[in-house]
Amino acid sequence: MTSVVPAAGNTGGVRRAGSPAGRAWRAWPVAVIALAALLSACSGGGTGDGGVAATFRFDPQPPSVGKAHFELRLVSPQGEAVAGATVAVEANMNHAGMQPTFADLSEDVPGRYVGDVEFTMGGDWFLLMNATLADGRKIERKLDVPGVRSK
Amino acid sequence: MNAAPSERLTSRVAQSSASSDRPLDLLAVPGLRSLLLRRRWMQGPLLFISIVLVVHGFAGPQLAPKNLATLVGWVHSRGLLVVGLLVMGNAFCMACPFMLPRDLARRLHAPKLAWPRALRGKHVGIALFVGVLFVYEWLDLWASPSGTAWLLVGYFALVVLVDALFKGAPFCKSVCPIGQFNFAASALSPFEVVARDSDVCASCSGHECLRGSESSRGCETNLFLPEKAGNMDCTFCLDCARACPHENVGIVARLPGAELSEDRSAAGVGRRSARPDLALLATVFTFGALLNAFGMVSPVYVVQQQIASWMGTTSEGAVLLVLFASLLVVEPVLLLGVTAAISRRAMPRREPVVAVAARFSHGLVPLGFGVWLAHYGFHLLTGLWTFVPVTQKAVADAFGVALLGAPQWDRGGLTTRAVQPIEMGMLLLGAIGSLGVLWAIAKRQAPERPRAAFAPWGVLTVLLLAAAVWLMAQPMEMRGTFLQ
Ligand code: SF4
Ligand code: SF4
Repeated sequence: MTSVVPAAGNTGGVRRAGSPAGRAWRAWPVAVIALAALLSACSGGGTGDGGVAATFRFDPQPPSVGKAHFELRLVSPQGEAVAGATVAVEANMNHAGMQPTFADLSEDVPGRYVGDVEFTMGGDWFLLMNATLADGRKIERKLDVPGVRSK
Repeated sequence: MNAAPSERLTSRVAQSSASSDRPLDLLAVPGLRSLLLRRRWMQGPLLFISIVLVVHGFAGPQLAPKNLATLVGWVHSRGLLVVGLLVMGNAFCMACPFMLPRDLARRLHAPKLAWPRALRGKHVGIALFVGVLFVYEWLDLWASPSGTAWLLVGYFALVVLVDALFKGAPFCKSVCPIGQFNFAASALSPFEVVARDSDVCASCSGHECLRGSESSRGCETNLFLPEKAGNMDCTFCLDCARACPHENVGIVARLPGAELSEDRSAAGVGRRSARPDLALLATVFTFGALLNAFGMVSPVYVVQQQIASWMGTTSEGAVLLVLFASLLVVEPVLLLGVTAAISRRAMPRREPVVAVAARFSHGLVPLGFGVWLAHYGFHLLTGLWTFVPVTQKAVADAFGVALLGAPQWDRGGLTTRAVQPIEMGMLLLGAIGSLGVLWAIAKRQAPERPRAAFAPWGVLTVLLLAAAVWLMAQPMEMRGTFLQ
């Protein structure tokens, strides 16, 4: 049998120093710094909501997969119901890669907003609540909904 | 100069590839060769995407579905990785973004040390693979953009550190958990990097595929092409193809999984039967697939609650540790041990039970791959387009203008109902593959009583398939906190 085993193994790299690909290296640090600067500019998004409190509950509690009745109360720092707002919620799973669901809420009594939120899977969810108050101020809140039950 | 023979060879291979009597060779497909040999066009964009993930992971919204680190890192990249393995080969390693900073580091600091002999097997990589699975569940990395970004940063740091200090490619070969996963799974890939013509190799004196040439380094994982067998340790980097002056390297179609039943001595790898670390990798790959899938269905929480009350603890880490030990150590030891003990009765040479279990463990890899495919394929397909609105939002946040349009949050993917038959198909294919490989191993180990040697392994495969089907049919429930 002809042996084709080489006398020595890999010699650890290209024999000739320098290659055309080396030029591409120099562009990278500049691109990285520029990108970091750009993406770091992502805003945290102050809402300036004047301390409006949001409390909520579901029926059933805890919610399970499917539609759940959602009730949100908006209360001013003085303890008064915040009426006349336009409220929408976006429901997301904590796990990435799931399509969110959306619901527009309607006000049934002053300061109380209701609607149906759909949960497509069991697990931890959160709601992103967006409200535009009667005076034009905007409120954004993240409301955690842990442990949505699978059916 | 060798231009003339090289041209002759290329045209000969191209012709024979076009004819039906030779398997398809991707490096003989016009246009594809130069595309595949230029690796930077794949690595560059992937490095760019990795940097975007890291920056967005730290600076973007700390909400997993709204952040590119968690979304692309855990949903799209894992899904594409297994699809690449299924349709081609070790495509992730081929385009690996970690190699660019690693090569840059090596230009600044040439490695001088030899990787310690004691660490040359797969044990470090397997330990890290299990470690990543554990941390993923324990720290809920799937829900943590900054945690995911830290993991990526740590990965880059480790590859640079290891390969700037040690010669060869110890990170790929022995350390990288993704690499070990890919090496195990690529046994099921339909393509393999091979020497096209053994006669050409026999008359070759330079052995540039291993030693390197003027224009390219040789194989850093020490796979000498004429004696290479299978995809183990092959990163599809194609350094060998670039270095070979005879253009005698191809990416050739083959029977997926066949290498798992073989026990020849392969360059840079040796014989499977002499590598207990490869058997351990196969075992962790298979049972890790079931464990990882179990972690996202609702029954896992009942089990965890029971373990917690039995232990009288509220420590999620301790409960997870018990779960991991049960499913990655106790369960495989019991199942493989009992099956091997029954199977070995049919063998002419009574080998130790551990040796029999090690040989046959490779036969379970196809089923394991089916489970990984079903699991990661599920996330990829159900969340296929979710990267669109998140990218639109990230760009809008970064530039202050919606350059890619307003985020289309209604972009999703296939429904769970549509994906389930695909999942079941993957599991079934994996099980059929396992049965085929186990049968081939049984015929080799017990030529006189192959049926008796195979039967217990066939039963085990059917049991594991049933467990996987049950898992995939369970309602999904992805929760961070399981102890209430
Ligand atoms: S693959 Fe190429 S370099 Fe390697 S031994 Fe064969 S002919 Fe020589
Ligand atoms: S044999 Fe070696 S050089 Fe060739 S593609 Fe595989 S890892 Fe790269």
